[in-house]
Amino acid sequence: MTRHLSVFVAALLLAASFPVAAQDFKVTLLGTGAPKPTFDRFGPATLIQVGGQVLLFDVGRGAAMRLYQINVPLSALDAVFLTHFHHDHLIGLPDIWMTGWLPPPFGQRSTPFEIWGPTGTAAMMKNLEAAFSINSSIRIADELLPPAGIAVVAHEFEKEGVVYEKNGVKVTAFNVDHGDLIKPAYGYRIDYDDRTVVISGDTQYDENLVAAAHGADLILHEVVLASEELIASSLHLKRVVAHHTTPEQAGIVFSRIKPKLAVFTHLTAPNSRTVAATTETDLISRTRSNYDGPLIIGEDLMSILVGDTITVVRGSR
Amino acid sequence: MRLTILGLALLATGFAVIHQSKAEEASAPGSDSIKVTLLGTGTPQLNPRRMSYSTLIEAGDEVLLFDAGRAAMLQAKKAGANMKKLNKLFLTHLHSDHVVGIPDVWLTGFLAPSFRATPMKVWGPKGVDNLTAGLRQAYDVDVKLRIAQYGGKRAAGMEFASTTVHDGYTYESNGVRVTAFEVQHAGPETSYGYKIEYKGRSVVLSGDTIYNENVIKYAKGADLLVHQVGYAPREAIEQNKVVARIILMHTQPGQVGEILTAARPKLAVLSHIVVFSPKGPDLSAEGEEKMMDVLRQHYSGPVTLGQDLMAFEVGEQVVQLN
Repeated sequence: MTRHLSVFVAALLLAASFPVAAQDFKVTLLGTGAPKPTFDRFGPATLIQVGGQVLLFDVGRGAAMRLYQINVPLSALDAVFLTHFHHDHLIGLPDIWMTGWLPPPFGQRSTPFEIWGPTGTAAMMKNLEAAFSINSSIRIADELLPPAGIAVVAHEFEKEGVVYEKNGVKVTAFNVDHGDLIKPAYGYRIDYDDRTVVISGDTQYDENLVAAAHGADLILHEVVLASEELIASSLHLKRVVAHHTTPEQAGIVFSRIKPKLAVFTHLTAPNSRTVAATTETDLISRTRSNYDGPLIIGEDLMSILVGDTITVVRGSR
Repeated sequence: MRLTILGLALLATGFAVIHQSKAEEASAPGSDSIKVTLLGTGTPQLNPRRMSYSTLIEAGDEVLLFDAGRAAMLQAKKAGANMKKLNKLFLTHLHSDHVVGIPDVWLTGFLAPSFRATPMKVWGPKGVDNLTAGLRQAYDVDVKLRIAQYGGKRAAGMEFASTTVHDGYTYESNGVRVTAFEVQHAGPETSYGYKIEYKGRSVVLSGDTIYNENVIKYAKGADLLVHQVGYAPREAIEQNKVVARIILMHTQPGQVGEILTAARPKLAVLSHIVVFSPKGPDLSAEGEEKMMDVLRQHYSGPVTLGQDLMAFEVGEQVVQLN
């Protein structure tokens, strides 16, 4: 444990609430897990509230429930962004999309569901609309819900670059490397009023990410936690690990970007019958071999306020 | 180890051994009983206390999931379901809250710890083919990536095999029989309840329905009836059109009481619990208790308010396990 870490732990414990200035980002980790079904870490999903806009990045397992827990109506989402097409980033979509249309206060969406993602996003949404067409038609006929509220507008992009720009909020997609077969795969950089938040997406160590994330105040980075012993025990795990960033590699990324705070999310922590999962203490110490700046391990419902300073508030689950 | 303990006990007193082995038999999977776990007892309403509707049934070698609502996969894991066998799903109807959990059960089921290698089987009303075909296409990129990464030998595990049910449709496997029966829910939509039978025991799930004689017909003398309920005080129905419309799609507590009085199951449990106050959805325990009070005015037999992950052993007796 280093000095930096203990400073942030203190912030975690002390900050009960904080004011959000107009120019600040509020970033909330809705889900910090991976495909493995666990209660403490839901599937990948990150909420960013900035410039009066509400943006959601990836929609993993349980995202709708997490939004409810922080009192953000599903219908308040202005834009949803997808990093890639692995299912753990997408399985929460049907709930967010369909439940956000229902009559209770968490729903009531009366305008189309707007989603941004790589080529393939529109086809996926078309097929979801087809799959759930009976739900849509019945609720329109029976509950008199507005058809516009279940409609979808998909904004696709073919290559990296600025994909969204509204009232000073700029979202830039950049290529990352999640393996030769897993393309497209993107990370996102969100800029507003001289502040920058970067979401790595799922990736191995990648120079393009380091370049795209320059000057970031906050980076949310994925990580795979596995001991040498565990990796050696299974060809399958070897492949899984090869698609992600190890703590040592993340340390190199952070030391080059020099963010005000680095936060681990999308923790892939496999285990086997004989080898236990790596502990979070190991995660920190392995990252510390290459990085001594501010670093914490993300948790579901943790909020990070990015302003003149960075404040971290732990949520209650 | 267990044998040794039993052996020692046998030396001590024969009676104790018989007693203990009977207790073990009753609680062991693979016995003559049916185990029922309420994975989700809620509705589309976002409510951390009640995930949307799913019920897990384990009987002999069969593991059957009825509806896949929000968080069904997480709840199944929490309930200790045999994840390797979690590949048979029966749908009561196609409202979103009964199907939003399918992508997770299906796609995560291809990975650890389930490693499904055969198609996921889904039974449901007309439209189930359309649902599974749409999901398969929607997640096509992930499907192809996973197959390429983890080997084509299990490629079939990424497919669906769907079957459209009708009133009286039956599925039989390993001594377990499931019968679909038509109920009535929302307008033109076809909705089903299911009866599950195994070694002379029976469990009936009402599905989402208004008061329906078919439920009484199938639930008559059942060991366990899992029935849905929708309740709003009179003023809420009078003051709020949306509430009135939703309540009219469900069985009201007094009507549930009448159904239970006619069917006389050994035990009834309520799941898919809809409660409104004049202000809107009422998620409070008090609101649910008021609903139970109304129900009890119409039925004096055993009835339990279901909770997420509540489990029942349906054997010689019907026992609530937690």
